[in-house]
This record gives sequence, C-alpha cells and structure tokens, in this order.
Amino acid sequence: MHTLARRRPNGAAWAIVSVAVAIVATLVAVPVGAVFVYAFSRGFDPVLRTLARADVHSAMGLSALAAAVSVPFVTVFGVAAAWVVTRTELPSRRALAAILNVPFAIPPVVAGLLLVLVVGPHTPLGYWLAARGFPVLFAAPGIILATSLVSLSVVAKDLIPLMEALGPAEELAARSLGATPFQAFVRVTLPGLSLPLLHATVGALARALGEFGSVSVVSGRIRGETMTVPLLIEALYGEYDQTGAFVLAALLALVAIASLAVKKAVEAAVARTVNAEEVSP
Amino acid sequence: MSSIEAQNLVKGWGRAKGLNDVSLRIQDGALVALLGPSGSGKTTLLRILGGLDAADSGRVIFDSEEVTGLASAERGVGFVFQSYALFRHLSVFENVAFGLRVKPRRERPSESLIRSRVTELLARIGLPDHGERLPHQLSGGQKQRVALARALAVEPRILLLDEPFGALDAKVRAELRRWLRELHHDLGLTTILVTHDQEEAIELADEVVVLNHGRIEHQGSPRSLVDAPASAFAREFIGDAQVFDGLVDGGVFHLGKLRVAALAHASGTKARLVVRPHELRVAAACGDTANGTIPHVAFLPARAKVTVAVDDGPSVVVALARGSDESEHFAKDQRVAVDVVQAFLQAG
Repeated sequence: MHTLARRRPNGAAWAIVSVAVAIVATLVAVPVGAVFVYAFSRGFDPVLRTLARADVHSAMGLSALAAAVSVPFVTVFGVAAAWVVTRTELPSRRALAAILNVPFAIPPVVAGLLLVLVVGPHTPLGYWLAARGFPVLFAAPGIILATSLVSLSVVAKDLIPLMEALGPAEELAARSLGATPFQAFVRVTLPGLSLPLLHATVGALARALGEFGSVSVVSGRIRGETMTVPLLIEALYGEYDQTGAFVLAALLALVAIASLAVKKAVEAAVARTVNAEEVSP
Repeated sequence: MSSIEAQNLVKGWGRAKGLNDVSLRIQDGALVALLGPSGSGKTTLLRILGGLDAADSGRVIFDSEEVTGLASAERGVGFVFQSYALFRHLSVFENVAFGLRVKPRRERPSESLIRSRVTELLARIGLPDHGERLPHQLSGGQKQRVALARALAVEPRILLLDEPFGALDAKVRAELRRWLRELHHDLGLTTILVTHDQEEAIELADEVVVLNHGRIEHQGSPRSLVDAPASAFAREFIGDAQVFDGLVDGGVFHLGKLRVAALAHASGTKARLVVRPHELRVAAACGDTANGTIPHVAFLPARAKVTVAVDDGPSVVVALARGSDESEHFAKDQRVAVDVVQAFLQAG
C-alpha cells in the first residue's frame, strides 16, 4: 500500500512537515499542556481544595448522570437507526439518513433553544409536566434531554458507513440457515459490530461530557444544582477562580484524551479484522 | 434431494440483472451451472430459486411442492454466498454449527449431536483441526469450504452456490472444482452454481444454462453447448468465439481476402461469421490467400495462440496444438496466410 506513495523525503517535504508540526504544536499541544501546567501551577493544595468543593461534586454528579442516561439512549437509537438505514428497504430510510445530519448541523445553543420551545415552562407540555412535580427546564431532565439531542446521531453516523461497507451478506447467510430476524440481529449483526460500537459509544461519551451550549440554555445555571462540569468551568473562570477552572478543565481534557486513546486502539483492532476479511470481493 | 422447476419467472422486466420470463426444469441430483455475462440475471435467478429474493411473478416448485412464497430456510436450501459471508466473530466450528443452533428448541439437536455433526463436516472439508480458527485466519479456499460446510450442516434438499470460486486464484479454483465435483458425487445433492467462467461451467456441470438479458439462451449438456449452441448469443459467447460481419457474393463470404463458402446465402446479403481460434489455420504466406503479419504469439502449455493481422482485414486469433513443427516456429512479425477450416455463418 505504501510502496507507491513512499518516496525519499526532499527539502520541500521537510518544509511542509515542519510547518504542519508547528501549527499542531501551537494550536493543540501547547494549549492542552498549558491547561495541565496552569492547573498545578500553585501546587497540589488548591487542586485538592477544588476537588473537595460541594458545587464541584454536584457538577460532576450531574455530568455523570447526563452521560449515564444519554449515552445508552443514543447508542440504542444509533444501532436502530443504522440498522434501518443500511439493512431495510423502508422508503423512509433515506429521509432518516438525511435527518441524522441535523443534530450535527444545528449549533448546540440553537438545540437548547429548540428544547425551550418544546418543553419550556410556558409550553403546554412543559406546564403539564411541571404541574405534576416534574419540571424539565432548569432541572436534570432538561440537561439530559439537551445532552441526548446534541449527541443523538453520534453512534448512528459512526456505524452507518461501516455497516454499508460490510453489506447484508452475513445477515442473509444467517437467515438462509434458518435464523429468525431477531436471531440474525442478536447473533450476527450485534456481535459483528462489538468493536465499532465501543468506538462509537466512547465518542458519544466524550461528546456528552463536554457539551456546553445546549445545556447552558436549558440548565438555568443554578450553582450546586443544575451546573454540569463545563458550565461550572465557565462560571469559575468568570469569577476569576483560575485555579478552579483549570483544574476542572484538566479533568475534562484527561477524560477526552483517554477516550481518544480508547478510540484509536479500537480503530486499530477493527482495521486488523476488517482488512483480513476483505469486505468486498 | 429434489427436482427444481421454475415457471415463467419475471423480475424487473427488461432491466439489467432482471429476469424476462424464465422457465427451467432441473432434475433431481443434477449439478447445473448458470452461465452468463455480468448483468445477465444469473444471480437473480439463483436468489429467486433459493428464496433470498422474490420474483415479480412466476412460480418455483421443488419436487411437486410449490415453494414460491417460502423463505430459503423453509425451502431447505443451502446457500453459499459469493464472498463467503462467514460470521467474522465466530470460530469455524461455530460458523458450521450456526444453522443447528438457531433451530427452534424442539427441533434443535443436542449439544453432543451438534458437536459430532460439525466435527464430521470439518473432516469432510479437510479442515478437521481448524475448528477454533476465526474466519480471517483462513485462506480464501478454506473459507469457501467452511461456507459450504455451514450450508450442508442443516441438511438442505438443494445446494445453491453464487460464483463459488470467483475470488480465488486459478490453481485453488481448479482444486476446489474437482473437490466440489467429488462432493456432489458423494452426496447426490441437487446443486446449482452461478459462474461467468465458461470453462468452469463446462468442466463441472452435468447441465449448463446460458443466460443473457434475463432470458435463457441455451440449456443442455456442456457438450451440446460447445457443439450445437441453441442460439446466436450462446454460439458467440462460448469458446473464445470471434465474430465478423461481412458480405456474401456469389456463394462466398468475403472478409477482406479471407473467404468462406456460403452456398446457402444469397449474393449481396450480409452475413456474420462466428469462428473459434482452433477453426482457423495458418501457413506460409503465398500469392492469392489472405495474408497477414503476426503481431503476437503466446505459447501456452497445450496450444500456441497466434494473432494474425490480416492485410486490409481484421485481426484473428488462431490456436494450434503444440508439438507440431509448424506451431513451434511462428514468431512475431512473420508473414503468414490464414485460412478458415470450419466456421459458422449466419445471415446478418
């Protein structure tokens, strides 16, 4: 694969690579490194003090809750949507594939405002729910909804190209051997997707934990109650609590880097099995 | 084991890969090849017979039982897919066992029965020690045999193979072809395979069905296909046929200086010459014959293939048996004369 493209690097190639490395370093590596340096700039004590605060615990809990609910939801939705788009002949599947782009395309803030329009306290649905002691806006349900909405297509978008490339042959083979559609799905489709699914889920998790714009609109920003970690970071920063903000930022960055590492490891594993398997003849 | 009958099958009338009123009868225990160019509808026909695809109209009958509306598993069809379609996440053993494991509880064999059945099949396909391997650890030929064992595990009445050897190299193809022939002989299972390789169809099958544009062009023994093709398409499709259009004048078909007797054709009519490489002859160039120059000679194990660019005429390929003095001394750029020994001439 490399034999055609590989050439002995010449001066121009070195120049291009150097520029690329310089750009990546200034825009990515240095700032990310700086976050960690800044977080620990005054030693460990402020870090530990930040991590012991009640509002920080509340924000971590809320972020974890939002991720814990939205990630399984968008995973189930993503598998179902990818299956409909790539494995059925339903006339609406092209429309569904197109609609899946919407959560990516609309800015998160707009997604948050859309939720206000649908379940806000002044809408019939929001009013009805609030009257029964179940407020959606300015409460955990709204934050979970917003997080789910913006990461809705993450899993589906990850799976669709792969399932398209794999084709329906394995499922067809299972059906021809007497498997019911359910057996074919559970015994062939799902296990065949286990690694890609892990990859997609990690992506959804990273997205859920980092979500800011939409959550910011629906949360009401009540410190200690409706603030997720990204919201609290912004609040602390606004209050000139640089250490607090950077400690939490470092925490989020750490989670992001870890999930990136998991994704890369999974990608390598997927590439190994898929390449050996020649997807198409 | 079952006889198969297709009655007036239509699928996507007139479209590529469609079927335009196909009727077919296949005897119990036969090994039949569906042969045709890509887009001819041969795979569509196989899929409809196997219940993987539904025809727009027409009926499929196994023995005397109509199975048109039944799914492939209910028809008792074993299907081997073009790119094997092995379950990537399951071991070879579990791939073969799959059809037994998904049976409804009351029909499902016991675990020990499944083990012995799969072990027996793995031995039959010559992979007794490969049960624990994953599909991506197998060679193409091994995958193909596992796919076959998987289809046989559920004891189908009919075995359908879609381009079974398409993705394999020539040597493995020849081996598997022989192996499939023996397997068919041992099991006596009615078998249909799709191929675009005429040599494969002719060598392997008891009966060859040639399809083109969703219609059957020929059905019969491989020998009948070679010696007496039932249609112009079949004639031109088989045996590296070379097709030339020309005019008949005074009982002779003219193609530049290449001439063929055409007593049955009226003067001034167009005609089409279908000639295979071995039906031509080359000799030393001389006066009033169709002379030409050799741009290329290929020496194959059994034959020499001499291409001759006839002066003011077409390029023709001539095949000669190796070993004779004349076949060995032809060379590039040599001047030779070409002559038609035997050919088929049809009114154009």
